[in-house]
Amino acid sequence: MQTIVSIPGIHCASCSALIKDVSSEFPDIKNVDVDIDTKQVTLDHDESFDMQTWTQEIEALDEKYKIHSVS
Amino acid sequence: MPKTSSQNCTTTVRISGMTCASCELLLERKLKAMPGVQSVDVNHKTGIGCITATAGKEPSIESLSSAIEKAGYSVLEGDETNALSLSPDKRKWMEIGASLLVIFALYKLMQTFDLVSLTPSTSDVLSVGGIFLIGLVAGTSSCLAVTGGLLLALAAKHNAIHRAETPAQKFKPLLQFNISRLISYFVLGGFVGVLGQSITLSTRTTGYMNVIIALVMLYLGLSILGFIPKGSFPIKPPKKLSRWIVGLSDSEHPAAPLALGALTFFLPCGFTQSLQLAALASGNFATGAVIMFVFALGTLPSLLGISALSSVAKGRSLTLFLRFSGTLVLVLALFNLNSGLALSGFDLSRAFDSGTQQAAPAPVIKGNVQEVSMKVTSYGYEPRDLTIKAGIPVRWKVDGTDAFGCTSIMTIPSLNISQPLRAGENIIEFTAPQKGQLAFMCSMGMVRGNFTVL
Repeated sequence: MQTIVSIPGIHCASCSALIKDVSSEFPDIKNVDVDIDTKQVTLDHDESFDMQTWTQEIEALDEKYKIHSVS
Repeated sequence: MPKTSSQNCTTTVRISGMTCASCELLLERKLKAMPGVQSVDVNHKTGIGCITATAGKEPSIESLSSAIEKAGYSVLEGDETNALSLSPDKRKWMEIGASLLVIFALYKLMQTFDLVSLTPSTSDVLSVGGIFLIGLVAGTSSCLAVTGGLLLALAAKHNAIHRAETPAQKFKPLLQFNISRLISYFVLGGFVGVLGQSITLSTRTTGYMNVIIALVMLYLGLSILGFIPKGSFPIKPPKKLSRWIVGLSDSEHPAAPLALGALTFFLPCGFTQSLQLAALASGNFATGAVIMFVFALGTLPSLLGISALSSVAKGRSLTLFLRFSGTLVLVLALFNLNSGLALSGFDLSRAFDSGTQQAAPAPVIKGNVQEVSMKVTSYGYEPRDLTIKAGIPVRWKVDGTDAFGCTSIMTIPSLNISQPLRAGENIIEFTAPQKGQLAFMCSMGMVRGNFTVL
């Protein structure tokens, strides 16, 4: 399964590293792709992936990371 | 995030390579994951990481270094630490001071070799080659103050936000800026030719525009140098402000450089204005378009130079580039501000040196007309202080042979007089309404003179 979200607060490579680092703690996530230019994050994950917890973890990093779902 | 005071640190490390608050967060996460570490506080501005660990379980410097290097940063040790033992703030001020010195020295050097006023007079070289040459000169002199400043600010801001991008990626918006500039000059030049009326703004509006551009550049300069918050700080800016700033960097829309490039057509640059007049005089689309296009092409080398330089810079040299360009943008901003204020009626430099000027003797009145003459040189107006009597018509003879760039248009903002100069003698007639000071200047307000009205 693939989920794409937009995080407008992403602005540099360390944001991307940070998001990948947090995501690596989720065993359900197989692959994370962060595009700094479009500020979009593409998640490849299993059916059992808990999107809500992931959102909370990311948003807890800093107030500039607000996750918007992209349809 | 609570900031632990440095006394509580069991280990302090100097980390280089951090650029923003996200780097802090990333490193804090990485270091906190190490065994024994209780709390971590990293500051990207000072480059210092403060690690508090349980007594007896402190992680070794080696393991800390390897964790930091794994995250993409490096730890400064030994001699390196000594070399950088100046606090970042002091370094910053030294770099800004050095930039100022370099800018001043370059200016003086250019002045000595007569490059600031390398003056092909605009009046008689309107061949395509001549216009290209004017563009070339414009690109390295007065136009650079405005257009170059804008480009530099655009580049520096982009680099500050997208440090990690490849040179090609950084070059892209700058290339867009330049291409859009060429296209818009071609099209608008053509329109000027067709319309037969100049798009050049009135003197006073030009002044206000100069002031606005100066303020924008001032803001950009200060934010490039880091005097204005643009990220996470010990004192957090109000949420609204930070959201607005994030929004601003979000609006790094591809159209932004395009729009900026096109807008430079309307920027108050003397060379641009004088060639717009030439395009206007041509009276047809093709000639007008070619004149403006060739001119923009001429300004391209120096503008592209700036673009290329700013794209390849990275790491330490990028920081230096940001410092230097930030300082340069500030200097140019103040310069533009002064010109803009002069055009819109407030002459700051006048206000400061008004005591020292020598008023020339009042002119002879022939019949009911008083005559004064003045010469435009590559260094300014000679004499720059003239004396006239109020209420009596003035015949102002201006030798415009050496007029170039913005001095090819003579203005008296307060009387709404704006007259293009030809090579040779030009007559400007006006009557000073009241006693006092009457400022005159070139169309950009960069070269100034003064009437003392008796």
